[in-house]
Amino acid sequence: MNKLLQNAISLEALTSLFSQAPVGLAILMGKEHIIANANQQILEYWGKGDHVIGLPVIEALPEIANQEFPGVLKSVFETGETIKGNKVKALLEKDGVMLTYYFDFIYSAVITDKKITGVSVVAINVTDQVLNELKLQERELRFKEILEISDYSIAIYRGEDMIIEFANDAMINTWGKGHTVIGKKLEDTLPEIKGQPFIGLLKNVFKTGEPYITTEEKADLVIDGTLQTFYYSFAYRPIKDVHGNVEGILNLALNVTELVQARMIAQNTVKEYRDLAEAMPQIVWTTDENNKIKYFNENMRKFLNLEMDAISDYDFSKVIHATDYINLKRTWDKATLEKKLFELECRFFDAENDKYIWFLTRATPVLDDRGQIKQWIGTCTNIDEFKSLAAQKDTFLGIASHELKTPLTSLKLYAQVLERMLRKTGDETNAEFAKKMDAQIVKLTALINDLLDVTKINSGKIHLNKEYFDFDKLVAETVEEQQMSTSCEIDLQIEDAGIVFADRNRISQVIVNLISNAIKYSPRSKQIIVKVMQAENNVKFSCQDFGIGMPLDKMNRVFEQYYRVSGVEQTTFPGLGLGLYISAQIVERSEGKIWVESVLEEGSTFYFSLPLSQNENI
Amino acid sequence: MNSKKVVIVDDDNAILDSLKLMLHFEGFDVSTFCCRAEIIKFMEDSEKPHIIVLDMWLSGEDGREICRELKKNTETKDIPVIIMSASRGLNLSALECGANAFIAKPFEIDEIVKTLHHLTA
Repeated sequence: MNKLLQNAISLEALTSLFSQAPVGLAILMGKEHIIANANQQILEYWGKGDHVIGLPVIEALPEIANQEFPGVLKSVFETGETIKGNKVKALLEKDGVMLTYYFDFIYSAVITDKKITGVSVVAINVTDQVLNELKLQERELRFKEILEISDYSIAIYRGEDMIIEFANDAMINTWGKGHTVIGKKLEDTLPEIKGQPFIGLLKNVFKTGEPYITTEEKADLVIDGTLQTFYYSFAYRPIKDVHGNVEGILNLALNVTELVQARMIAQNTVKEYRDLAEAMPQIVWTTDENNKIKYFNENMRKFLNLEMDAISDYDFSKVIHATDYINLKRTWDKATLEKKLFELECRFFDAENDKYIWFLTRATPVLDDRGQIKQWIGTCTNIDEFKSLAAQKDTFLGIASHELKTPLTSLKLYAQVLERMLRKTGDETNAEFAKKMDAQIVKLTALINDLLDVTKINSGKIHLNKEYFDFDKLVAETVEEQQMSTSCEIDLQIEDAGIVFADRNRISQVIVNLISNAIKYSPRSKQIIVKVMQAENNVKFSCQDFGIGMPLDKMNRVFEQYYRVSGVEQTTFPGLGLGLYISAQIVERSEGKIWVESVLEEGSTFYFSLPLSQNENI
Repeated sequence: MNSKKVVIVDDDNAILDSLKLMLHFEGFDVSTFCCRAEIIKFMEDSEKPHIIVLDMWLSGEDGREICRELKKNTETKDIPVIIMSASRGLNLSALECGANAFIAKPFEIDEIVKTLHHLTA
């Protein structure tokens, strides 16, 4: 090279090359590093004019005094060894402002007569490149920070071997490993994925450059030493270099295990309920919000002898008894308005046996978030046999009660004959026994009458012989009769209530029932208060006792058939639990209302009201 | 002394016996029968009673039909008839067939005696 320069290139050419080179060139001579020569490029780097030539470099560029350059120059001058710098930062003053530059440089010794006489400087301004690199690094850093805090599990794999270059905390947790995995091969880090599709998929993405995106993929991973199943929605996206070659893969994953498991549970639950519905002996069905059948079990299909797809448009008025169909519609409409469960007995035509069958239809609304009905879930239970047995029971009870009265009649007569005969002979003691016997027969008769009434009510055979009568007069008479058979004081507070149209005997029965109950359930009290008054267009009767009372939750049930308020005290009171049921049935069949107010340990007040007759002249 | 003649028709002998005993005790002249044939024959052959106490349900026979029959017959139509039954709700039905009174079984002796006196006064 030296020879080439000596032989072929003129000093002029070298000078031109020196001055026009796109890199900064300078010759610093002596140990003061006097600027012997500096081309235009380096002068521009320095921000100086050519007046600095001839000056020691420290004098020309005083701002570098505390930077690394003087030391480097000294070292080269003293040792003769070339020193190269790469992207070295330099602070240079330009127009009074200190600016930052980056240079690649080569400092070489200038040797004259085998002695070091100076230092040659070659400098390339790489400031733009360095700043771009810094910006890029900053962006990468920011990007990684974003990846780091992402809720997604993110990892970057480099090369065909899938070296883990980056994995955020979420991914580290997903793998159940520590940060030591960085720099390791993915398949070494997660040996359990051998035999699972992931490595194959990654290699394919690496090979084809095509991303792979999937949802709810199953992955078995060892977490805390246990192989567990998870579900991920994830993507493998190729990372390409400027030439379009795949150099890595970005893995984004979202753990959807809970979602998938919840859905699986929901699906299993639906299936379980369907299986349950199919296993039930009842007809089970659901509707949409417009009461259109959406689901039904096999029992309904069999009963109606229909194909599955024919049932949604099926006209149920064809199979439901006409009377019951009207009732069902009315009941369902009411339940829809009130958004409440309904229950109704109705007859369905059984084509196979050519007769109507009794079913108990029961349905409950399912409400959406806004409280609107979104569907009905219902069942129809075959109660035909039950109804038949209940009718048989009622018939039996009716006959039994009637037949029981025959011996009771003679028994009562004998008791009365006996009492009178004994009194005639002056045997008062035994006459009293006969009288007590007669009183017990009266009680037995009352119980039998109750049983008979219930059977009549249940079979719909109770008949009310309605007539116009003076309500307060009836109450006064009944109270007078009751007062004769009890030591309890019945305080009658009566107003002119008016005329009602009802069965006088049956209403009297209700009054007797309520007064008897009041006496029975207030053993420690010697007073009950009976009131009669007019309230709006009704007559109102109340019977207040100061007895044991009853809790709130029992109050609405006392009018049910066979219901007796349970509790330590109540169990000691006799009775079949029919009196209030019969009373309620009589009052309701007389277009009246019956209700109770009660406080435990303080007493109860039973009320009933009947509509006033419009006919005031009776 | 009351010696009014009372005829009792019931298919239950215990009721017949006890009621006969009781009414006899109360001073009535009591005859008892257990079926339609017996009472009809008695009415044809014997002196007419002052009053008839008739059970509504005799074995296989409807007391109301017997009552209707008696009330149609010119010779017996004016004899008061009391129908008794264990079914309290049949009081109207009893009156519809011409009976003069209805008494629900079992009854107080005072009730029937009072009714007998009332209808035979």
